[in-house]
Amino acid sequence: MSDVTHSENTASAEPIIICRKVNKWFGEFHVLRDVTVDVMPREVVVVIGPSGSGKSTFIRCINRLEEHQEGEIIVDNITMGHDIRNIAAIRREIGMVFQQFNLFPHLTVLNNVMLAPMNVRRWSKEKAEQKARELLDRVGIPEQAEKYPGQLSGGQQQRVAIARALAMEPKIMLFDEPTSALDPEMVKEVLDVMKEVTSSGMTMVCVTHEMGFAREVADRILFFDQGRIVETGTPEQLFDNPQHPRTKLFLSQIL
Amino acid sequence: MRTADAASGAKKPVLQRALSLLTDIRFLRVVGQLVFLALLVFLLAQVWNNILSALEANNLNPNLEFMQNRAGFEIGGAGDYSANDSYWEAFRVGLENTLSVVLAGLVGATLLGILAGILLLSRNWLLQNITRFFVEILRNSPLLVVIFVMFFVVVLSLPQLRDSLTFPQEAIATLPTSWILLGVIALGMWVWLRRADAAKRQFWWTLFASALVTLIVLHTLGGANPDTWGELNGLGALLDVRFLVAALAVGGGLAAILVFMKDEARDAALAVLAGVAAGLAVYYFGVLPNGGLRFETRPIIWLNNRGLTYPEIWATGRFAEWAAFITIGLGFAVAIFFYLRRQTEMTGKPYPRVRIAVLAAVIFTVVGWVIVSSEPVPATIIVQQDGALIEMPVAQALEEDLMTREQALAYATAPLEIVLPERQGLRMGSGDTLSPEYVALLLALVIYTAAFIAEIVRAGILAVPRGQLEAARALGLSYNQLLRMIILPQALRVIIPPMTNQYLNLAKNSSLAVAISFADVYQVMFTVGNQSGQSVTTIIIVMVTYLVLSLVISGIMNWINARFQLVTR
Ligand SMILES: Nc1ncnc2c1ncn2[C@@H]1O[C@H](COP(=O)(O)OP(=O)(O)OP(=O)(O)O)[C@@H](O)[C@H]1O
Ligand SMILES: [Mg+2]
Repeated sequence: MSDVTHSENTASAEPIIICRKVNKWFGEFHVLRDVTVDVMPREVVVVIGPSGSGKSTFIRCINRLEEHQEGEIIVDNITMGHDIRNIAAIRREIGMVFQQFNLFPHLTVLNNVMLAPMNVRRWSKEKAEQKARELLDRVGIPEQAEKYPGQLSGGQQQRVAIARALAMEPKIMLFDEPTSALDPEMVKEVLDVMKEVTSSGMTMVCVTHEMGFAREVADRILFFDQGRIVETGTPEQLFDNPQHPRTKLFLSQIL
Repeated sequence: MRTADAASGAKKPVLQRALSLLTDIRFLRVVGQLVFLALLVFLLAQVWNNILSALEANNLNPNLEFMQNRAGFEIGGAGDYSANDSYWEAFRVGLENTLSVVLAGLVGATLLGILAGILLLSRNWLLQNITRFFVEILRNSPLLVVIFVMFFVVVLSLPQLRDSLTFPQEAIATLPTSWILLGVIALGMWVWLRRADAAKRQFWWTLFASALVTLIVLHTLGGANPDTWGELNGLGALLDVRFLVAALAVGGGLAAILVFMKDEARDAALAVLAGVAAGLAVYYFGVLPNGGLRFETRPIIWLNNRGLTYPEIWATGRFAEWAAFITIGLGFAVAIFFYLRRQTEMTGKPYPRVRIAVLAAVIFTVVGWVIVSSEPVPATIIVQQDGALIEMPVAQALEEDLMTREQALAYATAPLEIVLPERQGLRMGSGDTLSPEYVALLLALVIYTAAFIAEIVRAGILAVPRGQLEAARALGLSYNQLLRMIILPQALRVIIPPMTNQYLNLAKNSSLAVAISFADVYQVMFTVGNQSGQSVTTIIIVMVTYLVLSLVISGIMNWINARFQLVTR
């Protein structure tokens, strides 16, 4: 059903994320049904769909925050299985940004960003700090480095979270509705940072309800409904000329 | 806004300004405090006056002089106190007992409580529910009942002295050299291979396992041919070191050949060479002795209805020297810990700094013991024999058991002298004994408080939001790092304040000792008050004692707490 459409600029390379017939159940409830999709390096994929359709579950399977029961997920040539070393290796290459920021409240902004590079990548403190300050600069809050997360606004916190994920120099970034918990005036500052990240050539899978953002940056849109990828295509195809009745209904409600 | 307020205030007439003061929240706050303070002082003064006049009416004037009088009552288990000592001395004994039970109780309750709290969150259904069962029973029982249960049901139902429960059991065991060797080899391989990749681990463990199998096979064959394998057969052959090494060689060779076919040429060649060489050498020369380590276990802890007896530990004349070694070792360990932490920060390279520091401290301690113990002993000693003082060699004095306790300690070679408990007829001849009352009270306080601490720990861990764990995992932190860097600091923040309450409860609850006649400070002072008639003064002394104890505990806990609180807007 969901035939893979590669964006042209990456058609020649190997996919960096491969999902084949991924199935997942929560108890009796079938959340993901035969999800099959390839993501190419440097590709920006936006996932949309109604609430409860399994979007979060899908991207959380990619870095094993959720465990899928059937099918195959291969990230950066590493197969996701039960081997903890594979899981750790995959997580090192994937950064994730959550709806609720999930910054560590007991660490300063700087230490939030430095924690994983120092303890997972084993960088020196000096190197980690340099990288952290560089990233805080990039997301536009260099002056907040010594503060604690509790002292920042939501938009600032989410930008720290993006810096924290980028500090590991991941190959892939996952975003799960990064702007949904923000006040409208803060949404833009976060979207701007995300746009900047995509323009740096990062592979990105992003769940969002910001259709304007999706249209602007996405190479490809996946439309989820009831655990299935119902339709996929470029933003133009999907927004301007949706094929599936479910997609049409969803878009008519949201736009 | 503010200037407008002030300006309009200045224009108002004095009366109106005064009236508006009456509704000013800042003014009201100050007045409220003052009124409360005045009331408090008035009430306290009233109470104090009442007490004084009541005492005067009974011809009593409260002071502390009576505390110097002869106590006239005995306190069980207090070796350094007799009925002829003063009330102050009795107080001291009671205070020591209270402090001892409270300190041990705090440590025990904390450890048991944390363990139980973690078990309450265990994924293992059985463990979790068994723990839940005990926690609920304890939390819903009055402490007094728990103390009585511990005292009458548990402690007093212990056997008579002659049927004492002992730990460990008295026994003699032999550990054959070959098993020790196998153990050492396995341990070495484990340490060496922990970080190795799967292929290498597989190779060496295959080698080890096949060697073991070969050993057993050869043993069966060898058992049938006594000439080749000496008089060994049956299990005995297994214990022969030469047998073991020969088997390792053959097995190693086999395993190596197996893996050799799998393109592990270098490792395989190594294994063949090492295995065969070692095996042949040892088997030919019979280098390693047969036999093994002989263990003699003697009971360390005795449990009977007179209490719990444990070894006496005496510091000898050389203890100070050894203590100096330990102190230096600890200092060195701390220094090396911080140095390595700094190194890790600077280079990112991880060092096992905790393990290295502990190792350093242990080495200093052990080496210190050996050095201190091997210093020469004075050749002769003056001892008393048949009423006369005579000089004789130390060894002889030791042999004939002529030294006094002090001399024995002064001339002992080891820094510590440990005297194991020993029964002597109808009583324990040596060892220190904790009374049944003490054991019962301590156990009751520990398990009762631990039940509450378990719930606090559980709640504290659950209070860390799920998102924190997901963020940490998404960043690739290992489970250990996640526990140490994310969960623990955030859980402690929630755990410490209610923990302080539990610690204070434990300290104050220890006064329930009176129910089973344990001579704690409350029980002793109760007796003092009854005997001297100075009940008001004695109660004040008791109150002040518990107040100081509580203040110390909460002071320490507040200091710890302040270091874990979060900074927020
Ligand atoms: N841990 C869980 N246990 C049971 N059911 C779950 C769990 N997590 C999610 N679900 C269910 O799975 C379905 C898909 O959830 P998911 O969070 O993936 O949806 P979503 O598409 O991200 O929705 P939203 O847009 O609201 O975030 C939902 O019906 C949800 O109730
Ligand atoms: Mg979601």
